[in-house]
Amino acid sequence: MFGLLSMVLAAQPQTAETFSQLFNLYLAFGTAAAVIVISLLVFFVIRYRARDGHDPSKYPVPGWKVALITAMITLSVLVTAEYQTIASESNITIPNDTNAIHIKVLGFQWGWSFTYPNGKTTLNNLTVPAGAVIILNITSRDVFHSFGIPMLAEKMDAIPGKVNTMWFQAPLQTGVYRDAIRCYELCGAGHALMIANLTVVSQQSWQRWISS
Amino acid sequence: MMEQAINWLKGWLFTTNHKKVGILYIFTSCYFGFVGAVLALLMRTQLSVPDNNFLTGNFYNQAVTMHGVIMIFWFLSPLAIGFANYFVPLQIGAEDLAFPRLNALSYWLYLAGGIFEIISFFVPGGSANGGWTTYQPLGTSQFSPGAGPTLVFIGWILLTVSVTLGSVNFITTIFWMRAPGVTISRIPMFTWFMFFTIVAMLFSFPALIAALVLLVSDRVLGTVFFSLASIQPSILWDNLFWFFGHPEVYIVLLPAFGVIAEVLQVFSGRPLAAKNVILISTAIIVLPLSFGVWMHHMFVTGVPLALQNVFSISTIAISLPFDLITLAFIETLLHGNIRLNAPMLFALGGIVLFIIGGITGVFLSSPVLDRVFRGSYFVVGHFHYVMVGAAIFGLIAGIYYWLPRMTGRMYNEGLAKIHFIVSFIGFNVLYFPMNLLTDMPRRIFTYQSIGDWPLLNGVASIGAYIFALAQIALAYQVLNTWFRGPPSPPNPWGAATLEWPQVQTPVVGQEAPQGGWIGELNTENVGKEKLHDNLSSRPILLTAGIFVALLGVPYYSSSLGIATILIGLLILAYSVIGWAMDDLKERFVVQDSEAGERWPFHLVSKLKLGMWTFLSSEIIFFGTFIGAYLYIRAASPSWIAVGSVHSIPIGALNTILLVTSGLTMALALESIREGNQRNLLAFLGITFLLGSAFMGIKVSEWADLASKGFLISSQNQVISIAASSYYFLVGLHGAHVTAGLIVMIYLMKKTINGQYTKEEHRGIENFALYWAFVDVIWCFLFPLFYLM
Amino acid sequence: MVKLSTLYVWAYIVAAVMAEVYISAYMRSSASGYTAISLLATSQATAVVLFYMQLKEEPNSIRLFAVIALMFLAALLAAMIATLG
Ligand code: HEM
Ligand SMILES: [Cu+2]
Ligand SMILES: [Cu+2]
Repeated sequence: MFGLLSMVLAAQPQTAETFSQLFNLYLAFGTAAAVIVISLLVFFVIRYRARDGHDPSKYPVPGWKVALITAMITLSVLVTAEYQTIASESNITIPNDTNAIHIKVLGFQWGWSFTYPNGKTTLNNLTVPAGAVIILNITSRDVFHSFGIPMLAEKMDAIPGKVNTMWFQAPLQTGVYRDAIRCYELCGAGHALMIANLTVVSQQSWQRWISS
Repeated sequence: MMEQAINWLKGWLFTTNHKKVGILYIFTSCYFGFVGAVLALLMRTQLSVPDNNFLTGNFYNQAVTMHGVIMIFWFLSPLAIGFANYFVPLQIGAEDLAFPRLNALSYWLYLAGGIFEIISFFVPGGSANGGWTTYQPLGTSQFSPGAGPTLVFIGWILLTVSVTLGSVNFITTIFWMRAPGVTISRIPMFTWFMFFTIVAMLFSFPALIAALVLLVSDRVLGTVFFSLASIQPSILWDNLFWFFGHPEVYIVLLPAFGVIAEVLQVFSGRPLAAKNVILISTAIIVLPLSFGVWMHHMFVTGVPLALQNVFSISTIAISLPFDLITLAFIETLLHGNIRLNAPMLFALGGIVLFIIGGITGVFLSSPVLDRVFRGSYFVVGHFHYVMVGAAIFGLIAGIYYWLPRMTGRMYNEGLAKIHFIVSFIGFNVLYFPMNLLTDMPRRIFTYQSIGDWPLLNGVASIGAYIFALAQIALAYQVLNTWFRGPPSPPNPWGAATLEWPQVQTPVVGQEAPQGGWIGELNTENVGKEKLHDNLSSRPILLTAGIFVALLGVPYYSSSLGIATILIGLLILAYSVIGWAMDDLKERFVVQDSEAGERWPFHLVSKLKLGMWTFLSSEIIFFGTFIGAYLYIRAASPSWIAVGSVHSIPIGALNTILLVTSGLTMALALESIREGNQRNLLAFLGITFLLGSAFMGIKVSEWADLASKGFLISSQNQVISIAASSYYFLVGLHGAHVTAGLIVMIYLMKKTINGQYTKEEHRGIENFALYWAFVDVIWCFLFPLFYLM
Repeated sequence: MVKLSTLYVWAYIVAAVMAEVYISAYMRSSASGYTAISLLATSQATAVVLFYMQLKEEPNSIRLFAVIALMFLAALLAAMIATLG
């Protein structure tokens, strides 16, 4: 995870940016909730440890009132979180971008092959121009795979007989992002080895590379 | 001496007593828990350092798969069912479960299924290796050949059948067997939560059985439900599996909540806060909604965005009642007099871990965040916090809490406290790092040294050893207490629920335990003409028959396999006939107490309640098959034309035959309601003839279709999938009809004996229900296959 | 005494089978034909459940079982078909 964050900080393409904002919101809410509730529990355990002369039956049994209040608080937190999720769904909606580059991804036991718009094909290496909007059409030749690029906060299953789409904005920084692409669905004995590199090059060198 | 040992053995093997069956469940589940833990430690050893060669990828995948399957289905749930066996009847003042022999049968089926899981490791090619979710087509024989996976799936089906029978049993028990005075509002919390668990089981497991049966049919009979990617995308399995799978996570969790609710009250001296809020929100939000959130496991399968949002919102919604429950648990401590004995420590620890696991679950409800978390170690961390943290800690609380009740002896408190502290620390060292490994894929057997992976994985592996070693203390405690512990007072915690002897005993139907059950025996009449109420050899024999027959299934193409199947069927037939003879001769009689709390089922007989409970799960079972068929048809680009393969006139004629047999069965029931035994026999006979005619015509239809090339093995993929669904569904229905015909022979025999009267004809009544249900299914199958 | 309703139900179901066959012959593979056939099948099943399985005479608590199961099943079928997009 620390790896993930530092990579994201180095280059902030759109999908990664949206993800980290949403994630931070969830993390803040979640941490606050956990700390408050667990502290309350620990406090009660210490405060109400068995002691002489204390008769617990003297006090009324709490009914639905406290429950209602806590439900309201939680509900507002949950609604906020869900609202932000829906507001971040640009991440999982294919953009309407005429300049986008469409690339076909085929998962197989065990590797990834990429087919570029002009028919050029590469194995276990996805090369894209920096900052470009990339739309992937993902499918599989045999069993389920899942095509994931954690540093760009995107993932999509590769399913035989079905073509799924996914998009991302290529990192702004050029270079080879080693092992940035992995398979996230168990697909047999070689699942752990289904790794690919993401190579980001400048716009001009990409044009040159693809027509070579 | 010898005789004593044999009696002792019979006392366990033939028992139908809920306490003994409960103990069998508890010990067997702990054994499987041990197996699961060994697999886990193998995995953690492999992952402790990068680029490790301790396990191969193939074996790692078997280990990860069987670890998940065994832990969930053979350890966690059965442990809870063991407690439920022992304590639910005690808590509601019942003599036993509603159907004691069925209960024993459930246990033996569970064990038989587990043996299949274990032996699958030792056949050539090894066990299943597609993960506990067994996404298809990875589990089909094309990608996972061999007998091992088939055995795993067959064993799994036995388990699901066992669970379904158990659900029927428990629902009937809880509603129909309560002692006078145990009204709905007096049902203790453990029983309530077991009830919620069982309801979730009743409606979710049928979908899993259906999916597994389709899969085994693909593997053994060669149908193509999951293996024709070019015709239909394979998220059929995902849908069926997760429709079951999400309720399953509550099935795993809720029993522990029941224990925690009992323990909190007893050790804080306070009644449960907001008890009705807990019960009502579980009943009307958690249960129904648990069947409406499953697609949060499928956010990245490419389902439409609108659907993702619906399921994201429903998932958020279902977290609300859990928030209420957790806070009510904590509020219970307010103004209490808290005693930190081992049960209380584990209950409190369980709550803390549940809070963490529950909050990470909210992250997973977001389809946007799921684009990172799905399939990563974050998920592994999340579900272990819930399943091990909340569920196992809760059940360990139950072990310590009830150990004095089961053994009459007291455990060692100091050691138990150490056990808790080491477990709690080890647990967090093991699983907290996984929450940080958001980019590491789960189920990988090796990784390269990148970023913080080596560090976090190393820490987790150390935690795994700490956590696992701590459980040795638990095993020692249980055995030591059982055989050598100092005597415990009858009600050491001062609990107020009925499983503990009370100062004033208002309604208990059970004696207090003296010295527990080990060594205690009641076997006088074994093997004699009249069976003792408590003992029956039928459940274990029946299971043995099923076990042997199924063992041959993966090898059915060899003569040895066929022989095994036949021997199994022989044993099966012997025990079924024996069971029927027991009933005919009234050898095994369960005496129902006359009085008791039965609202809202006070107008219904016990058997009928059980039958309707069963039928409601059958609705999901058959409905799932029909749904799978509709899905395949909707997904496939073309289909065989109406009337081109199946003859409509023959189908219509057959439908009318079956419907008419429904009429005659209804008339049979009406006859005996008026006490007319002669008419009963006549109508049963006509029903039998009509049913046989239906089956005869079916078989000739099949022969004709096969000769016309309408075969599963057809080269034409449309015909292949159409034939798969036709033969499978119609065949399954035919099997139900055939089973009905066999039962009818027994009913006619009993009618001839004059054993059905105006007052006592429950057998006929329930069979009429079954037969009509078979009719109902056909009402749908006929148009679906012949006319549409 | 045979209850007349038992016979009527049988007559209805047989008539519905005929109607289904008729519809399938004359409105082959049309959406309205499929809808009509599905409705007829559902009505047959309902008749069997209410009269032969005597759900009509059972208390509501028993009916609840069937209703809950059907609700869950409906959710499964609807969402499953919806995943096809
Ligand atoms: C000794 C304690 C345990 C350890 C060290 C442990 C460790 C692990 C490991 C390393 C995995 C593999 C994760 C992956 O690669 O996806 C795993 C998976 C899993 N564990 Fe555990 N676990 C333990 C106890 C349990 C218990 C008690 C349960 C359940 C009820 C459980 C349920 C599961 C499930 C369902 C999976 C997923 C299997 C799959 O991916 O198909 N675990 N566990
Ligand atoms: Cu993979
Ligand atoms: Cu779920």
